[in-house]
Amino acid sequence: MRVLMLTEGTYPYFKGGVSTWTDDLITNLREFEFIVAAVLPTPFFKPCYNLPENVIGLASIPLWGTELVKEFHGEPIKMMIKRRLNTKDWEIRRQFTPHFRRFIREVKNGGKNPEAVAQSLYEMHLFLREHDYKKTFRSRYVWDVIRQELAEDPLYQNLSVSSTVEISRIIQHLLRVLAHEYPEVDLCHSSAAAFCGIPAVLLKMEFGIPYLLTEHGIYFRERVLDAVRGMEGVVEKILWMNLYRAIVGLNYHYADKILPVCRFNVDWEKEFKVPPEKIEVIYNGVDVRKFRPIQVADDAGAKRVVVMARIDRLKDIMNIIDAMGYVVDEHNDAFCRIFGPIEDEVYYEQCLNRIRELGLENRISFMGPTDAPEVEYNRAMVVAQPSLSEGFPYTIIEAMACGKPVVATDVGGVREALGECGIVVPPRSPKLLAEGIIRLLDDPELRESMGRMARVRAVKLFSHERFIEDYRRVYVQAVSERKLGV
Amino acid sequence: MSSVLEGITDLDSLARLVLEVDENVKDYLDVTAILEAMGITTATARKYGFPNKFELARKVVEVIQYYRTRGEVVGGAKISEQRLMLEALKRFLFGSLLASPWLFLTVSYLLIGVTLLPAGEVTTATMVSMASALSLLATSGLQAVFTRRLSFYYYQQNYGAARRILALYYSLSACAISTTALLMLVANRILNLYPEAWMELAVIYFIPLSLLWVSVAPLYVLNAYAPLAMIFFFTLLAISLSLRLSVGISPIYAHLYGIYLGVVMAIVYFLVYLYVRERMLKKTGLLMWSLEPRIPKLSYILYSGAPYFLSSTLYFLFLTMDRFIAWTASKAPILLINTRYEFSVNTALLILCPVFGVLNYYMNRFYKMVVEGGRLFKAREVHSYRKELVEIYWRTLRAAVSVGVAGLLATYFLINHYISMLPMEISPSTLLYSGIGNVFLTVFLVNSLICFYFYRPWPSIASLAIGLLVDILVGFPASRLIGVDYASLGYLSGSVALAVASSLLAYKLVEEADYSYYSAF
Repeated sequence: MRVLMLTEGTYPYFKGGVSTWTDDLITNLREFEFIVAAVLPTPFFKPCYNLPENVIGLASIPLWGTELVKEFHGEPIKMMIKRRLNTKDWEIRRQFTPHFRRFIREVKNGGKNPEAVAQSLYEMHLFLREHDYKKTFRSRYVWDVIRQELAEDPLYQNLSVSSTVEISRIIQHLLRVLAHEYPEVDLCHSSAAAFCGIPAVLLKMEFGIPYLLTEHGIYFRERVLDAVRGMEGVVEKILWMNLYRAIVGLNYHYADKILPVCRFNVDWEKEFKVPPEKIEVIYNGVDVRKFRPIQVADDAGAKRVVVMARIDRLKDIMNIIDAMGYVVDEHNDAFCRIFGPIEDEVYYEQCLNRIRELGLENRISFMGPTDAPEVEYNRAMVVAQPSLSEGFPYTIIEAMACGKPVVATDVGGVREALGECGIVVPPRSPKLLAEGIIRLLDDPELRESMGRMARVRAVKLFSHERFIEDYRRVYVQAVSERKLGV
Repeated sequence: MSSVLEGITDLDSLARLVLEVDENVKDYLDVTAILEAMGITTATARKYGFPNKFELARKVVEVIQYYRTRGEVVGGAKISEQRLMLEALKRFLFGSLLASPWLFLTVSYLLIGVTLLPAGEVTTATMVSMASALSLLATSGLQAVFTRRLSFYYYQQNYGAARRILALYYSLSACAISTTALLMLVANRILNLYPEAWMELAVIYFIPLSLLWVSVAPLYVLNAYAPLAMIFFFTLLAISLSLRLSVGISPIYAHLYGIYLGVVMAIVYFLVYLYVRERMLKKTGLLMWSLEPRIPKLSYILYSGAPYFLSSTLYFLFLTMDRFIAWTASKAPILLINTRYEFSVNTALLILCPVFGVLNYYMNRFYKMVVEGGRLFKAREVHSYRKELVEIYWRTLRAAVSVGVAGLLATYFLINHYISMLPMEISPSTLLYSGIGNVFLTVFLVNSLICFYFYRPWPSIASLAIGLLVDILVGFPASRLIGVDYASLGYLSGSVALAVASSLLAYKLVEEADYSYYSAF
């Protein structure tokens, strides 16, 4: 059985929770063959995972960083030239722009009719399979559609000229997923309700291939939080949010099954009118044999706080830095080790500045990624998680499996994961985070009991075997139902 | 308790808090996401008396409507006049430095008689000038193809890919240079154009000169104007010292060593610069990804760069065509330099230096207006945006032409005044016609920069083809019927045609700058 695994900005090019999940799933479902289609910012990233033997193909779909859309796809240049010569202006006008117009109209109203969104994307995909992508999108007819639909719309005509042009250029990049051909497989599985899910929708429309969607973080929610940082005007934001809403709605509508990693996500999915019977929560699983309490020889008894998170605003590293300021006031021998790669260099610099401001240079260290997280968890007296947004974080369940007490912000599925086996505090509340840490540092018995309960809970609810078994069942069920014509 | 929500007990305060985070919240889903990030969950929402966080968010949205301020603020703080002047001066100086190769070469020759190439009797001068012109023609196309790609990867901080492109560029350029050198020797032997020793001399100069153009071209990608100027300065200094200090080096070797010094300096500078940038990027060592130095297949690079190759080659062909026409005026061998003509047209190039300064300033304003100026106009006001750009376009042309004319008058009168003191003979009429031609060339340069900015090489190519044709059609008969000096009339006519054709084509792009910018990829 062949599965098309769709990822966006994650596996196998970037480290992180979603990548760990994908790698784990593929590696353990050995009876399935996987083709991985990874949507990427540019084509220059090196895979940072060794692909298991059952991955029989890896296709990267770079949205930026190429002059010609398929210049890294190994296609002979003559094919590209032929396609370019075959792309006539009148064809663009008659065969492409009506569907593009329909797509833009649907986007403008937030994709209220997902079938219309899907139909327009599918027709554009059919056209772009045979015609040149660059020539098509550079066409004046395509620009006229955008201009008419935005500049003549009572709301969107308030966009600035620059925003109109920039948004159009970005849409052109985002739709590059339509220029590629996708193999006929038995099942599609997307790791986000994002642009990477579009190929699954196209394949479903063309061949009726079942589509499974796993939601880690809520894509729409994360885009809202991004927009808070980066957008200049109300109208611009409305258009972007409507585009994301349309894409998320499309994924929800066409997915046969939505598999959120925690119940927290279900609330959002229901808000998007997803029928409850389509939703099944499958918690992430952790290898409880690898992540277990172990004796770590060095500096036993040190008041070490461990954070496993990439350096990114969403992870709110500033929160733990400020919290450590309070912690050090109470325990001047406490220190914090932050393990994780840097995603946002500007933010990393801000963190370093904050550490200097607070005089915590000797108390907080950025350690980079670690190959032995189980050792680092076991070295910790307390594991902290200061994040602003999470799905169902591995860092929490791994720490629990190692029998460590956790202090974490109440985001995503954190509360579900921890239950009564950790301390949950509101996000962006460094003092409360610090109070949680101090409480655990002060009380060895509490640490001991919470750690023990956490281990029991992790083994019982978040075991790796259960996780793999659940996906195996869902895969088989989806494919069988298709064969049986259910 | 010290949560951000401490003390927030009413919806009004909650709404204000949400607006502080994002004054542009659109609907209850936006608000829910922000509330969640502030720590409000369904459990907290219940404390406010709502069944869940979404219902709470709906209510907060209602409150926000009261606070929503209408309209958007566009444009930043007014920049002081002094800062604007400083910016203009900086742009002007950097732009002038861009022209430093021929500025230094010409000024150095006019003042101290030293240039990259040795002056001598007609034989040497012919071969050296031929080497110079052929080196530009043989290398300019590849420069255009590869420096585009180089800049593409450089600005994406993929220094590994930039290095690979550079290696490919050096290798292909080396192939092009050696093939051309070989062809020069073989063609000469078959057609028996010049004595063999002459052609060997041409090849001896052709190779280092070509290498020099190849090695300095990447510096333009970095906008490394100052290092570029320094390289030419030190090259000339080395030649000058070798010649003047009588260190026992023959003039030919003095020039060759000087040029090779420039080549080495340019290559070392660029490679060290890339290396340092890469080290700086890797300094943290904690990045969550690693970049692969991937570049596309050569066929893709050549295909996408072909129009730029053509445009660049045609440009240099246009710049040298009148010289070739002048050379062919001699009886035998078929191409023999007219030193008087050469010095005159080289001197006329001087007027382009201040023009480059002005262009650098105005083109930057134009580019800024295309991108940032668009923020000042609503989509429905696109006509005003276009009008503004057309106005800047005309202003740029007026400024470039005015400075060109001023430069021409100054050069013409200075040269005429000091003509007897100059180390070479100059034809005032050639200087004048070439100078006027250069003024029109500036118009083409403005248009060409606009076309390239919008990724439209074809208008440049079409204009150059027309200009070249007119150049030949006028220059050839003029040089034969009136005199060799009047080959420059061909250049003048060609430049006029080039200016007119390129203006007609570029104006269309400016007139619809929103579409041109959208489709610039």
